[in-house]
Formats: sequence, C-alpha cells, structure tokens
Amino acid sequence: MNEEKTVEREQKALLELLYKEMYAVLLSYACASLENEMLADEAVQDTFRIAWSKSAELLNCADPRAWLMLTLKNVIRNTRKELTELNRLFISFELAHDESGQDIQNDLLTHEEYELLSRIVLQKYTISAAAKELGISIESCRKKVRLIKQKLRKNRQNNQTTNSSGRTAKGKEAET
Amino acid sequence: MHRIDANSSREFSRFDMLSTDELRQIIRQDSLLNENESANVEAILYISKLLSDREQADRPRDVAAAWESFQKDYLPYSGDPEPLYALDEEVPERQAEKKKRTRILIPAAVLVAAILLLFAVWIYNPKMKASTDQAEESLFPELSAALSACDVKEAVIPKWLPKKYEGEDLKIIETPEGWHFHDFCGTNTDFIVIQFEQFKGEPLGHRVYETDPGDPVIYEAGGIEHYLVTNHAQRLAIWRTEDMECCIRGEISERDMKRIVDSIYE
Repeated sequence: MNEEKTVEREQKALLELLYKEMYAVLLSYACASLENEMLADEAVQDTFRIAWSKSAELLNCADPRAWLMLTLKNVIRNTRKELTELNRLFISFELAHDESGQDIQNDLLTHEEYELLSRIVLQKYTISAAAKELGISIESCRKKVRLIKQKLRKNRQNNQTTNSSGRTAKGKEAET
Repeated sequence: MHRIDANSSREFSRFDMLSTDELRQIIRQDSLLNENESANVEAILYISKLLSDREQADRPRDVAAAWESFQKDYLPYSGDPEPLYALDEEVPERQAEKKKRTRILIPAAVLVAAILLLFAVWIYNPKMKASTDQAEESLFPELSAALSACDVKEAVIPKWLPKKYEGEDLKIIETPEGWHFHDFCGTNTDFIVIQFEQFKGEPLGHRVYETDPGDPVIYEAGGIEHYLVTNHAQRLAIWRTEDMECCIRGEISERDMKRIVDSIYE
C-alpha cells in the first residue's frame, strides 16, 4: 500500500516536472497554430489534463515530450473542427431565424444559451473564459455548449427534412 | 528523460537561422497536417522550444500561474480522457471509444476463460448447479467482476433496472487518483449510465455534477443518503461510500430511480 502511494507520488512529481518544463514550449506551438493566446492556453491545459488521465501511458512511453506534442496537435485539430462546426450551426440558426421572421431563439435556445453561443462564435471566447464569466466550472460550461450544439444540429436536421419534403410537394404540384 | 535541446541541437541547428515569423509559419503549417500525415516530431519540438525561448526573452510566460490554474480548473476533470472540445453527444463518443478500447484493464481473455471454466464446472457439477440456481444472477457481470478485481466490497451495483436497459458496455480508466468505472446500459437513444470513482487515497477533487436549479431530493437507502437531482431530461442519483463516488443517470422517473437505488441494498 505504502509502495503504491510512493509510486503515485513519484508519478505526480514527474508530471509536475514535465508540466513546468513543457508548458511554455507547447504554448508557443499552440499560439502559432491557433493564433489566439487564450485558445492556445486552453489547448495546452487540456493536453496536460488528458496526459494526467493517461499518466501511466505517458510516463512509460519512450519520449513523453513527443507524446505531449502529438496529443496537443490532436487537441488543436479537434478544437478547430468543433469551432468550425459551431460557426456553421450558428449561421444556419441565424438564417432560419431571418427566413421565418419569428423569434425562434426563444423556442430553441434560452437567452443564456444564445449569449454563450455568441460569445464563443462571435467574440472568440474560450470555454474556460466563458465558464469564468458565468461563474461555473469548465466542465459545466462544456456541457452547456454540447447541449447547444445538439439542439442546433437537431434543428438543422429538422429544417432540412421540412425543406426537402416542401420541395418534393412543390415538385409534385408542378408535375400535375 | 533527455531534454529537448540536449541531443537534437546539432541536427536541427539550421532552424536557428530562421526568423521568428518563419518559425511560426512552419508550426502553423505543421498543425494543419492530418493525423495520419507524418511530421518529424523531434524537429517540431526543437522549433517550438526555439520559438518559446525567443518569446520568453521578449515576454516571459508565467508558468507558476498556469500551473495553479491547471490544478484548480482542469485537474478535477482528469478522469475524462476526452478533449474539452469533444462536443458531440455522448453516444457517438462512446462508439468511438469502443474502437479505442485497448486499455481495458481486466484482460478480457482471462475473464472469458474464467467464465467458461465456471460454466463447465457448473454444467458438470449438479451440486453447484443446484446452489447457484437459487442465487440471484448479477445484472452486470462485467462490472461486478471489475469491482471485485479492484477489491470493492461495498454494495454499489443495482440488482434491478427497467427491462429496456439490458446489456452493458463497460469502460474502465485508471486515473492518478484511482479508477473510473463507466457502465453504459441500453441503446444509443435510451440509456442509463452507472459510474463509479474509486479513490486510492485522498482525492484531489470531486466530480462536478451539473443540475437544474433547486434543492436535491435526499433519499436514504441502505443507511446512505442519495442525492436525487435532475439535469435537463436526465435524472441523477449521486452518493458516496467510504472510498467511492457513485452516480446513476438516465432519462427515467423518480420512482424508477428510487427503485434502482433500493435494489442496490436488497
């Protein structure tokens, strides 16, 4: 039991050492890639969080620094992909709102959700910055963003189905 | 562990002559490569270190503040190996995890062999068959086996679930603090998740549960207080045992949730 605790303490100490050595290096990479310092800091912190969850794998691999760099690159790719998707959903949402002429924001997203989405898409807030502003944890904020994305995606699918069935009906009318 | 600049400096020293903007451009292009496209990680590490040294000379990074923020804001969620921007629903994530499930900590082959062996003994040993016929079968054979392997003796696994949530998909993750068990029951659209955190020592932090506004319902069963809360369509039962943090969640009624909780201690 004591031996286990010693190993655990040693692992934590090694991870802390690795953090202090690699934080600035990884941040430089993330800043150059994402061209946004806050997003870059979040990507690096998230990389270390993932590293912590896979500490055994990290510390047993041949080159932990390369492992961290590859993980950071994955995190950056994922961040880019998700922000692009949120942007796309935001545009669809805004367009649907204009076409119908109704205030569908109230039906689909709450005021708080819409504000959060605008912060991230338009004002380039990171999840951690939004969480700080809302006074909630990063994990809670992530869940809120996840829920917003689900709602918007479902709404877009519904709109696509309605549009395509509308088009089919019109086509049939034209044929007759 | 060697430092980045110890062995590789001679090999990559040609990058020293590039301007800071040129170094940034190389990194930016590298970050746009696909996952499968190979890049020289050592060279990228060297360039990043070079860039970092130059940037630090202009404006030193506050690593101590970053470390403090990491411990406070990020470390409590180190049980989740998914990136922060993994924003898809949990169901597709789960499907992706299935492919990656190379880190199941209980060797599946051993488990299967043990089950087969037990089954063979059970078939050929009428005495044992008679005795086990009376015993209640576990709804979660994988989870039960995993918890037993981790020496969990407390009653935490439900013995009843609504019928449609049959079948389990277990994931076990080792964290610096202990073990995380995540058992998914049901289908992609209708499911219940049972999760346990087992701590080896004093936990660094606790899982944070998002809930709807309002006070939780405190439901006592087996001498333990269970907090029943809702989060949008989901209902959660959260409780603590001596060295475990437990949660059951799903889109179920309060009545069913109480019945599930009761079944743990039956």
